[in-house]
This record gives sequence, C-alpha cells and structure tokens, in this order.
Amino acid sequence: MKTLIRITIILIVLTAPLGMATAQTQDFSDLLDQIDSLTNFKTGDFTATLSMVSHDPEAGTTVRKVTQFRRDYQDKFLVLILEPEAEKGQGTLRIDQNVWAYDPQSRQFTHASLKDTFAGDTKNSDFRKSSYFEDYAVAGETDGKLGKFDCWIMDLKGKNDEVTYPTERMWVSKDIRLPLKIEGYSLTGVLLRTSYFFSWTKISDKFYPSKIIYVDALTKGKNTEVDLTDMSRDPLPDNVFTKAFLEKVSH
Amino acid sequence: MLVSLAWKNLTRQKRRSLLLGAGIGLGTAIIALLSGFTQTMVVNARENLSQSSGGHIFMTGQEVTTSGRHVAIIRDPAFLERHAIDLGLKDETFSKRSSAQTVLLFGSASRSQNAVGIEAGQVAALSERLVVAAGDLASFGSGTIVVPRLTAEKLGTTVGDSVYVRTQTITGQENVETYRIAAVADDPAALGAAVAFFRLEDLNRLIAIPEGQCQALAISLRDPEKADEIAQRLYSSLEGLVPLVPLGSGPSDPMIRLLQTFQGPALRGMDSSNEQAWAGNMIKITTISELMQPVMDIIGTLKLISSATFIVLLVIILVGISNTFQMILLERVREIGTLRALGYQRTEVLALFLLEAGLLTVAASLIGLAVGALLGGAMGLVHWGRLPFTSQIFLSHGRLGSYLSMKSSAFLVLALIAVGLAAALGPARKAAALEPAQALRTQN
Repeated sequence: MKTLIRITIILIVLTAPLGMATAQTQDFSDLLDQIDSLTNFKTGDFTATLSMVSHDPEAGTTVRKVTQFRRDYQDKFLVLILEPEAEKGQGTLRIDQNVWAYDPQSRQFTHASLKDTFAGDTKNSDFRKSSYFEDYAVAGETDGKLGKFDCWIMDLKGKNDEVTYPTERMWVSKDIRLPLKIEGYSLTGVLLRTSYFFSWTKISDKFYPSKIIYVDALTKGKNTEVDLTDMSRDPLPDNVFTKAFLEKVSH
Repeated sequence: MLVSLAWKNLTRQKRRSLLLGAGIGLGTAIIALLSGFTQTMVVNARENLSQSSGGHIFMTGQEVTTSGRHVAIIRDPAFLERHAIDLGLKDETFSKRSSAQTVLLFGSASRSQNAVGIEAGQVAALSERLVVAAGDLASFGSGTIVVPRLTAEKLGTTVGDSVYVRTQTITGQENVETYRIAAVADDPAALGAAVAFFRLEDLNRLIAIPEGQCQALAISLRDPEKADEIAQRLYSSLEGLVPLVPLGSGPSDPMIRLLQTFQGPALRGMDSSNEQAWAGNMIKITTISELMQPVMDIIGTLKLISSATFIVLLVIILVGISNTFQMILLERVREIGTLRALGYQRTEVLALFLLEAGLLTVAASLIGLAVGALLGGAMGLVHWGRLPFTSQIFLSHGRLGSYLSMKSSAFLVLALIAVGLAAALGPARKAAALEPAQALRTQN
C-alpha cells in the first residue's frame, strides 16, 4: 500500500509539470482568444474620435483629428481624417474583404491593404477588429514585468501572410488580461514598431484602448500618440460603410 | 557641255543664284534638323527603354495566393529560358530581375526609393552605363547597394554607410535589412526615375522570393527590330504549357504601361477583385514596341509638324524657283534665240533650263544638309541637365543631337530636286518653244 502511494506520488510529481505546461500553452492560445473577445464588438457598432499627434524628425509634428466607425461582426471599418485641412477627407474603408483608400483631391478610390500606413505610424490594421487568435500562434511565452505591472510576455508568429508583422511580442497584463505593449518585427526579425497601450476604457462589456503610442523603431524620434474620445456604441446606418458615404463626407 | 553652260549661267547672276540657293539651303537645314531630331529621339527612347528594362522582350509572372492576393513572381525562369533557347534564341542575352518599392532609412532621415535587383552578370553592363559619383562598382556585391546621388544627398549618407532598407514582401509583409552603400551613381537610362541597385539574391530575399525565382526575365536581342516577331513565336510556343496573358494586353493607357516599366517589371500585390482567376504561374510577354507606343505617339506629333514644315518648304521652293526662272526666261529671250540660231535644239534649251534648276537645287540642298548636320551635332554637345521623365526618355546621357539617316537625307535631296525641276519645267518649256527669229527680234 505504501509502495503504491509512493508510486502514485512520484507519478503525480513527474507528470504535474507536463500537465501545467499543457494547461499554460492552452491558456496562452486561449489568452489571445480572450483578448479578441474582450476588444471586439460582436454585435452593434462602435464610433470614436481620435486625436493623433505624429512626431517625425523630418516632417515635424502633425496633429490630426480622425473619426472611426467600426462594425466588427461584418469586419467593416471606416476611418476618416477631419483635420488638418490639407488631409481632410482622406480615409480608409474596409468592406467585403477589400480595403479602399480615398483621396478627396482626385476623388478616386484605390485598392489598399491592411498593412499600409494610414497616418503617421498607424497602420490600417490598427483600426480593424482584433484577430490575434485567427492570425497568430504562440511561439513562446514567459513571465515578466512592464514597469510595475506583472505581465505574460508572448512571442507570436503569424499564421498567414495577411498579418502586418510576421512576428510580434506582446506584453499582456495579468491583471486585466489586455495588451500593454506590442512589438512588431519584420520577416528578418528586425523590430519595426512598438505600440504602448497606456489605458483601456470599458464600453458596454468591451474594452477599447483610449491612449496608444506607436513608436517607429527604425527612425529615432518618430512616433504617433493616439487618444480616443467620444466613444459610442450607438448603431450606425448601413450606408456609413459605403464608398458613397466616404465620398460624400470627404467633401 | 550643257552642264558647264548651265553652271556658267548660274554663276553669271551670282546674287540671284545665291539668294535663291540660300533660301533652299535654309529650308533644307531646317527640315534636316527637325527630321533628325525625331529620328534621334526614337533611337534614344528605344535604347533607354531597353537599357532600363533590361532588354527588348520581357516576361513577367503573376500568381494568385490562397488568400486571393496577386503576387508578382516567375517560379521557373530557367524553364522559360530553356524554352526560348530551344526556339532558336541561344545567341541572345537573358537576364533575371526583381524590383520593389523601398524606403531607405539612415538616422532620422528616410527616403522612398525604387529598387531593382540584377544578376552578377549584369553588373559589368551596368558599370558602363552608370555615372559614378562616389565609390566603386567593383565592390558592388552581396550585402551592398548602389544608390542614386539624390538619395545619398537627401539621406546624408556616403559610401561605406549602412542603411536600413524597408519594404514589403511580395505578400505584403514588412521586412527590413541593412545594406552597405558600395557606390553612389546615377543611371542615365533610368530617365530620372532614380533607381537603387541591389544584387538579385539580396532583393529576392528581402521581398521573400525563393532562390532561383524572380519577377521578370528580360531578353536582349541582337536585332531589336525582330522583338515583336520573336515575342509572337514565344507566345505561340508557350500556349498550352503555361497560363499566358494575351499579347498586347495591359493598362489601356500606354503612358501607364510605360511608367510601370520604371516602377519595376513587377506587379505588386494587386487585389484580385478586378481580375479573373487562374491557376498556376501566369506569364505575360511584353516587347519594347509596346513600351515605345506612348513615345511614338509623342513623336508622331513631331513628325506631323516636320511633315507640314516640309510641305510648306516645298511649296515655297516651287514658287521661288518658278518665279525666278520666269524672270530668267524674260531676261534671256534673245540669248535663247541666239542659241537656237547656233543650232541648239528645243530639247537642249529645255535641258539647259532644267539643268540650271537641278544644279542649284542639288548644291543648295547639299549645303543645307551639311549645315543641318553641323547644327545638329553642335546641339548634341549641349547637356540638358535634369529634365522631367517625359523629356529624359528622348535624351542620350542627357543630350539630344539631330542625326539624319542616309536614307532620309537622300530622300530629302531627291524631293527637293524633283520640286526644283517641276518648278523650272514651265519656264523651260516656254523657252524651248521660242522661235529663233522672233526671239532675236525681241528687245531685252
């Protein structure tokens, strides 16, 4: 009996790390899914006003006012620049798996990509619903800290070539289970951009980052600060997510 | 004897002959210059396009990824090359290329830059063409790049500096690598497009094209005039073996087709929504003639102006010679009567007048051609500096001369002689019809 108990204890001790590891791996993959669930609006629409301040050593500082419309359950979004006057009316629209960039000067739509730059250091993909679970696999994970916040640090590898950054490193707060920092790397492993999520705001039962700083890793001094205000879950008319609407409001 | 008599008659009235001859010569010089410019522009444009594109026939490839994205790639350029050689093109030159839109970063400076990847075997030809401002093309190898002078100035870089090169792969993913600047040089054949050169293997790696593959395969022909014929043969022989884009298809605007050449032979990540789907690696065959179409449209306008000027000149010469020989007829009535009395036949009198007109026209047009050639050559020494792309294409190393072909020169002279003779024919016939007795009785 005692032998049996000893064997059982030994087996439990030996297999416990395996169980824990398996549980942790599943947890991190699930964590990505949780992040998507916490930040995507499965029903309804989302509207916000963004203030973007871009610092560029060559181009100087540019302050932009942007409005964003999102309909996550249809994977649609529209982002439109309202200020400055020189860029007013420029926008990006995603509908039917296509991304369109609108130029009010030429009144023309051109095919764009989620990987293209929207303004400053932001990408079109930054305005889309979160799809980490779909697009990335967890290649490695560790515990760490970001300032005084305890975090999980995950190394993510893109599952497809649609992702903007082939690999990312994500710091997820253990407390709120939301990203605090994301590093985007090139195919060759060169750091391209770091995104800092300074604060998250709860809207209904979802969370949206209300202050983000995107830092270009290749050009010293180049970054973009984004602040979100006037967030709303009010329903939007269907025609908001159309080319005609974008063209109309741009002029 | 008639010839020497005709020449003596011309030199008797030196002033009149010189004035008329000068008019014909000036007109000839203008026509020679205009025609020479258009001919030279065509030659320069063809040469520039073939140099910057890498050849006279270009094969590019497209594929549709599982996500529906179009990517520019030729998966098996070796197959296409072998196939072309089997068709009889073994003596032509084949070269593989890739291209990308990149951003070069150095410190806090950045600059967008067209980039072209070339094979090791093309570096020697590149060396002959590039105008090197700094560095040495002998050190242009793997891990190094050649940047245009303007880019180096804007970035504040020099030979030996390492720069980040940022671009998107053929599937649109961000990628960055560092490269050392081997040389700073401008490519006159790039026509102001400011291209940075990479080794093909480096650029392919940067844009995630596997080893042995490329985005374009160019064929340089010994006889560029046969480009269309060879392209048709290639197309016909590849039908059924690989998916092919119909010959001659592309953007309807020929200027867009031309500009695409300088953005690189590749098609970058086009969305599939406007394209028909296909399976496999679709190949498109383009020739230098297609790229020349917008150039020929511009030159067509110049040719029209040149032709109109030529017609106006011919009319002026016709009227001028006709009037002059009418006057000569009136002045030499008694002389003609004397010649007839001495035994000259009507045909000889006719021939005398025509010879005078012919000799004057030949001499004046030949001198006019010489003057036109000299002026054209002198203009060819002028360097036009930095001009817009649409003008650069017509220059050779920044210069535009006027060189008229022998065939065109001969045609010009013959046309002028024909007009001169036609103009003098009326007065010549009148002179030949004069009765000797009546002519001798006439008072001058």
